[in-house]
Amino acid sequence: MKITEETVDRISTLAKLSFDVKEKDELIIGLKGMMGFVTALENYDLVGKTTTEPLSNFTCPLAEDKASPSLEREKVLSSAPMCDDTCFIVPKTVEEG
Amino acid sequence: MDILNFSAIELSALIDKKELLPSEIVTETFRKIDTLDNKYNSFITMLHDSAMTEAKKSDARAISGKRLSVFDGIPIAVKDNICTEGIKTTCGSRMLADYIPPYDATVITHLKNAGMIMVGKTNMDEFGMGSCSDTSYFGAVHNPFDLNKSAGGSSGGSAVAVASRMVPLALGSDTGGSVRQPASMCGVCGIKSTYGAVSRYGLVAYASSFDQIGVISNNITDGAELMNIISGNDTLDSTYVGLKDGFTHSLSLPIKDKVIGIPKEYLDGNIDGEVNEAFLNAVSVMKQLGCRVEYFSLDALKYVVPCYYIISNAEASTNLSRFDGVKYGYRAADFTDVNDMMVKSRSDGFGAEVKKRIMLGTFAITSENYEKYYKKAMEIRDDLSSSFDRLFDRYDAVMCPTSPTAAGPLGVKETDNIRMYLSDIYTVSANIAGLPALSVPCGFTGEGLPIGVQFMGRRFCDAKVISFAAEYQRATDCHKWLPKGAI
Repeated sequence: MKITEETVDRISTLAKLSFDVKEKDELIIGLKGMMGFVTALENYDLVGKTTTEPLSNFTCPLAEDKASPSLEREKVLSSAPMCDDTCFIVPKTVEEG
Repeated sequence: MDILNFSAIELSALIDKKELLPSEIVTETFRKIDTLDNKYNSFITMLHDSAMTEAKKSDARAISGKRLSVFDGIPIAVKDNICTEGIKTTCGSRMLADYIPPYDATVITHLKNAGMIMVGKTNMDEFGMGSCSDTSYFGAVHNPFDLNKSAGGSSGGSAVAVASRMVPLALGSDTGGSVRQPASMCGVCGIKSTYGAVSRYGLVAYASSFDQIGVISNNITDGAELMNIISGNDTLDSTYVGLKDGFTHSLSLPIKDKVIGIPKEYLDGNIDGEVNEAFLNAVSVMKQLGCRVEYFSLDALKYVVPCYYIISNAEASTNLSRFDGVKYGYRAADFTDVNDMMVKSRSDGFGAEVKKRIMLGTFAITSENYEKYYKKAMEIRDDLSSSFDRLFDRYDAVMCPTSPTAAGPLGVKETDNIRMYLSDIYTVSANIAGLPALSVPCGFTGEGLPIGVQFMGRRFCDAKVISFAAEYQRATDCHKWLPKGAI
């Protein structure tokens, strides 16, 4: 796949990151290199392969279905960049119609 | 004699005999850190007051003969991506430079219940993303064997703290080799358990299906004892399964007639000559100890690194989406709306390597690339894992160098990403397949830089893997060599 400035712009929008021109150029080179590297995966032949114990089928132990104490609200809010007594504070998220 | 040259088990014996108090050990620990760490930069946060308070409590338990565990009163350093209630946990990032977690990671609870004394939080590559401990917002970590060389990474601060005998034990985390590789570069032991043997609750996530908390120690027996402590029960991590028989029951088991497999692919191509020589010497030692050694070929090994980087970066891109300037962490000062706040906070808060990995991971899981990259890598991961299962039907352990080279120079900007990622070539297999693996020192280069050898085993056979390293260390003395500046 071709990696262009447009690709970097689209991915950075999804990742909620922004880059200046120099950083974008470096990213294009880096991503091109990495894509060339990982394209080797296409050559891995999985036909007829069976897995003995797929890690992706790992069964997680279940916790008991019982209410237990969680973190105190005050403690959790104390880490926030901005909050009031009960909530995190963020800029307005609903635009005016 | 410097008491910190004793092993943790020897220190513990001295406490038992009432010849040494925990507070004396902790005092000496801080004296050494204050003297040495301005050269190494291995600690981000020091915990003088809380450590001395806990040491006094431990003194009282020791005097009354009521110690809580074999390591009650023993100092320990903790990598700064493991959450500690009321104590800064920065992950080596500007994003979390002032973050104080409201809870302890499960392993920290286990350390406290065992009476261990946390003396500080150690420097690391930002969010664990790096192999040299030089991507930290708090500056690079320096190798005590040569201050101009890298300490390895990402748990470089923990490895240096142990190597320079500032602390006898440290916790690190291992996503693609981040405990074993710095241990190898700094001449100490690093253990990564089977995936699921130690709770990850409170470990700030990089790539959740690979991440494991591990230990760094000066000898493998200390490390195994510490693994017993941190692998205790947990209900807060749904991937925790524990390890029924613990890590120390095979320490004295004979390894005579056991079969060790060595992958031929790992000894071709990029391995440094001195590393190769040290490794082959270690193989000779294992033969002298009665092991049978066989070389095997596994073509699939060449896919391990690309497979690892696709999956780990995909997981990183989702895990690190939580850092948005809302609940915790850095928030940009100026922004126009909520989206702008998140973009600016993330762009300013994360360093270059972290942003690059998020971008690659996001790319790999976009709708048009998901099947081609992420799904294929996951299928290959399952197949690689099965290949390792079959290997351990034939071999009791797999042995290989920990890293293709000894520590490299600091301050050289790595422009070739592929070369940087290939430095993890020997360690990522254990994370891909969830295997127990460890590194122990096996020699030195002509420049005096440490070299490590790695042992891997079948999932949940951690104690067996440790038995190979324990026997190797009883027959060798590389792990006793100290960096000159730390004496």
